[in-house]
Amino acid sequence: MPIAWAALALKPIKAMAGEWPQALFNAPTSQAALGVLQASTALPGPRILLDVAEIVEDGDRVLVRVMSTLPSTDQITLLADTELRPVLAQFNVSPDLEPDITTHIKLSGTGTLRAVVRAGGKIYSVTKEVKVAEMPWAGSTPRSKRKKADPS
Amino acid sequence: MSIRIAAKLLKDITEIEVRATGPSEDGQRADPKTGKLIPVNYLQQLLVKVDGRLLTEAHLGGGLSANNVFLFKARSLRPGATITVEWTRTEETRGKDGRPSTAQKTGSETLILGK
Repeated sequence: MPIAWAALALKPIKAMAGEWPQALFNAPTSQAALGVLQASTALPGPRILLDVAEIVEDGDRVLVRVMSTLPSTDQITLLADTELRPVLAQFNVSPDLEPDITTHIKLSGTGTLRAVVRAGGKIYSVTKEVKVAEMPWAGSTPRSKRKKADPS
Repeated sequence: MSIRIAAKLLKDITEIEVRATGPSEDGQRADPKTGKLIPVNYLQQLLVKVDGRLLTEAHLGGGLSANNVFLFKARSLRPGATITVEWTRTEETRGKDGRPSTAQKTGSETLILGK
């Protein structure tokens, strides 16, 4: 498997409009996903805001905002490094849209959230740690404590 | 599954809120009662258009929240502009032979700005 992913990562994949980027979403690790995004050597992004709470109570609904003030921002990808499928969403942004997008994500536990931004043909990446607090009084079982099913 | 659009015309920016009702299951999570995997069912794509022009093409995975709310900010829209959101949801179903297969469901929703 690692060899197959390495081969995939080397192949430049540019998804056509309307086509769901399957290789990206199926990437089993953030490293593999960054390879698909050609972001393995991404630049730091001081002009990118990745706004998310440092500590969240409900990992099923985490509010995230990504804003880029880099000129010619045309793509924003959100990843959660510790998830089984790290790629959460990819937004292709037209010049008529502010690169400022808010959505809600699921986090199964404490980990690193990452935004990869393509602007002017360059790839930038920012990360932020998010702690998922376990609230024993909250009633429902935290995602991290839920039993895994036998996939058979 | 339904999509609702709300829009607020601010000075130079129009806030477009897209509310997507429905589950978000990536097929990896077990039902706590039965212990079986919950079938794949999530919003896979959103296309937000204004008067036929594409504002954003969002590719989405099962890692987003159920009943999600998205907020986009569009530049220089005028009252009367038509905002369209086209959505695609991917759903796993089991045939008579018990084999799973995924199918795409699509739909669209329209809002005319400032009316």
